[in-house]
Amino acid sequence: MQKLSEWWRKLTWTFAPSNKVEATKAVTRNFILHWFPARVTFRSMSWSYSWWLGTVSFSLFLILTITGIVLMFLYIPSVERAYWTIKDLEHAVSFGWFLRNMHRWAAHLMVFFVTLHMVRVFFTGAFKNGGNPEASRPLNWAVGMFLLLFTLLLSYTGYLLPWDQLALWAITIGANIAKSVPLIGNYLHFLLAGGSQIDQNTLIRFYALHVIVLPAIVLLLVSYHMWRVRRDGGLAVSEQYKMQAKKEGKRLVPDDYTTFAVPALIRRAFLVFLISLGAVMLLSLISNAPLEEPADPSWTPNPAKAPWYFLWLQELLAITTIRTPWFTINGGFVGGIVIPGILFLWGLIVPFIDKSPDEATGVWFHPSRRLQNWTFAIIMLILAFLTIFAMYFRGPSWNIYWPWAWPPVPHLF
Amino acid sequence: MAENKKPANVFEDKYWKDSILIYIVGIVLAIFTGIVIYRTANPEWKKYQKEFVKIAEKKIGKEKVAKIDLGIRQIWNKELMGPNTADRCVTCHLGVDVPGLEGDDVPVVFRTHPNPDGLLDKHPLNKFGCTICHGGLPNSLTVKEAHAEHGVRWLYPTYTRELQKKYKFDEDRLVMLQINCNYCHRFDKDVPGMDYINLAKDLMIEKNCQSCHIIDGYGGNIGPNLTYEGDKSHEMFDIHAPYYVIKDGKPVESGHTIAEEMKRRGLPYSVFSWHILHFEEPRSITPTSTMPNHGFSKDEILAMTMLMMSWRKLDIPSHYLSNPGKYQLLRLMEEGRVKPQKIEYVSMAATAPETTSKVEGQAETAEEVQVEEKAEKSAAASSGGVDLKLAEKGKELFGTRGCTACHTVGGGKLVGPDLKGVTERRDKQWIINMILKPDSMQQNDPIAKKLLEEYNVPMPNQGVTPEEAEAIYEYLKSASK
Repeated sequence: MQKLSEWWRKLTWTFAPSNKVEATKAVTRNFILHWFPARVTFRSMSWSYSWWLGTVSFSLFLILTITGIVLMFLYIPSVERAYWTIKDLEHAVSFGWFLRNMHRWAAHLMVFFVTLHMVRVFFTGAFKNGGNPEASRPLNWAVGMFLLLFTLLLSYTGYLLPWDQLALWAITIGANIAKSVPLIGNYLHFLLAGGSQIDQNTLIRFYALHVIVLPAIVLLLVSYHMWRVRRDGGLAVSEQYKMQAKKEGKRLVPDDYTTFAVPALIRRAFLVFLISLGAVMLLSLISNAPLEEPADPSWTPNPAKAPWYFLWLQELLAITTIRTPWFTINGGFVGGIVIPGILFLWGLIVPFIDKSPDEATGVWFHPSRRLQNWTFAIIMLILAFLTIFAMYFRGPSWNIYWPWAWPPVPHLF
Repeated sequence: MAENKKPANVFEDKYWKDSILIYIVGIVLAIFTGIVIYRTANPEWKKYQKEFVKIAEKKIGKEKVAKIDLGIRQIWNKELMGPNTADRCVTCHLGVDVPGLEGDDVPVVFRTHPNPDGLLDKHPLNKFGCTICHGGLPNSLTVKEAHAEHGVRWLYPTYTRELQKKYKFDEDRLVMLQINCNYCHRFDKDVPGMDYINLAKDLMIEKNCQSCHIIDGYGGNIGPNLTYEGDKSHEMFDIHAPYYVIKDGKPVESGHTIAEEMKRRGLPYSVFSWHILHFEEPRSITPTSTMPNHGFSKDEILAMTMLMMSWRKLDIPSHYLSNPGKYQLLRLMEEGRVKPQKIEYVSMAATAPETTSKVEGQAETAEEVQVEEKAEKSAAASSGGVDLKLAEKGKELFGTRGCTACHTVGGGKLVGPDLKGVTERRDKQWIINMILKPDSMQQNDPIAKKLLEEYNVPMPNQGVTPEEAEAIYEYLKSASK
């Protein structure tokens, strides 16, 4: 018995250190906790600074990985069978309905929260080094931009897998956006679809990308992203302590502005994970993931809409397409390439062209960054507006309707 | 222990409240998990199974009910249903194969499957399953999804009595599922139990739809090809186009759309409703349509609509098809390997009890006798050199060869001109030529050309033989007097 409790203590003390020495050692003694720094600043721990959006995003990624692995045992990536395995999940597999709902909700939430995380980082100027010569936060911001891109791709590739009408046509629209790229559009579409139309080849491509390639990339990038945060000296707000101390000519004593990551940080991260899990579970209980009729390439729904996070792109494409009686300018180049391309490039280099003073690092809406923040806010609002407009106000034939005045679509019976 | 030795080393845990939050969130998560387990353990179908057991125990006794397997039940025939779908209808409809649950005191959903005319002996349940006849979505285990009442674009609904009520069928029995019978019985006629489809097929032959439409890969090209009408996407039926009413024989805009017309009549917005309105008066949907109003009754309209919906291209193994050779012929025609030709429907009435065919036979002879008598009488009268016997035959041909679809004799013009007095307006050879080779006449003959300009619809070649043309001419001559 004595021995048993000793072992238990050996296994668990790193999670619950009882004194300063143990708290410091915990991070190096436990392999899992290697990821965390030894100490974390009070402001990094606060709810109101970061809203813990990065942790939420990673929690969702974890939920997705776990539910996704279980789903892999139950799903068959074949155009004849995929839809019916999803039907089985919903009706015959124990907990299958819940598993699928969780995966669906976590995926949508992840797109949403990764975006929110980016917005938070921008508005707090957290991509700035704040005079810290060892930090390279602009690089980490760029990694984050790619993470957002890969999150979108993960969600997009997963959208096709149920192989219902919703999936098939949303993916068709998405792939057609790729097709409208000038010169290489057709090759891009062919590469994506594995042929000239969305069929079995597309499904297996999307499946392989969705279950292994993209998750592996995201896992690698996200590991680097978090390690980078540690290397850069924690969240950007931590620079404020150093700047303040410098100004006041004081020496910083760790105990004055930091606490031990173990247990404070890991406990709060666990709490955030549990809250995220709870939110996903609640949504999964309230609302079922949609499953329309089986995919049928010969029946085009009208209107066919891209997944919601690409709706702004579809809308851009529609409004940059100019039709005159004499000629038509396809929106593919402007709406599909130029505008999103400029947005992404601007996103990548914005930390380097942001010339605001060091004091603006890690501060919400710092007055010196008014121009940058307004520019960013307006871009995000336009994208959000385009998305909502396309979601609720675009009816059959992409005409504009009030959401409550949609013309009825005929059924078969 | 360790803390007691080095009190200076103790750190203040500023964030201890997080632990409490973790416990609170943990309790919430446990509640959620409980709900998930409860929901998984109590699916909708279990309610129905409990209800069934209660009712069946009363009716046939506990011992027999105990032998029925409960839980998720399914009928799976890989050949017919494909590798990954199974009909799970029998999970709730537990009584279908249990004898003794007939009768009105058992709710319809739990009743033994009826077996009229030995239907189930030819289509055993364990081989055919449910959805191939009744519609609905396989694999599903909730009423809403299994009956496909879900969403806006569902393709295969279950033909329920409620659905029939929406279309105002005057029937207490299920008849709409005859649509699905016709998937495999497309080239049969007079099939026992398929009264609506049988009626529609008789009408189709009587009105000679194939003179204007390609049906079964063969026919005229004035109207659209109807071979796979049932597969047409709902998007191809514009229910937001204006609805027309006929005033003084001409279509006039009614001021509202087809969809609004459906709403006024209490019909669902559907392709089925579209066909109903279209059969009622084609020009109310398409004002420029040259399709005549055949004056169908309400039941005939419903029957024709069902026939339209039944013409689908489905991947059913050939040995499930009635007359698979005819399906094969249709395929060869579509592939262009065989010349388009009329596929005659095979009557299944021959296999039915002999009495019916005898009665028909007697009637025929009686008619013939009458005709002969008439002919003798009129021959005696010898009125104006009309061979009345031939004219009688011509009258019949005038109907069966589809002339009535476009022409009347003394009833005013339809798609083509009224033929009363035509034998006086044109000479005999012209009329015979027009019947036998309308295409070359309409290209070369000045009068025929002018008529085509006036009526805008070319007269199709109906495959009439010279002898038959003679008879039709004789009829026109007699009717013109």
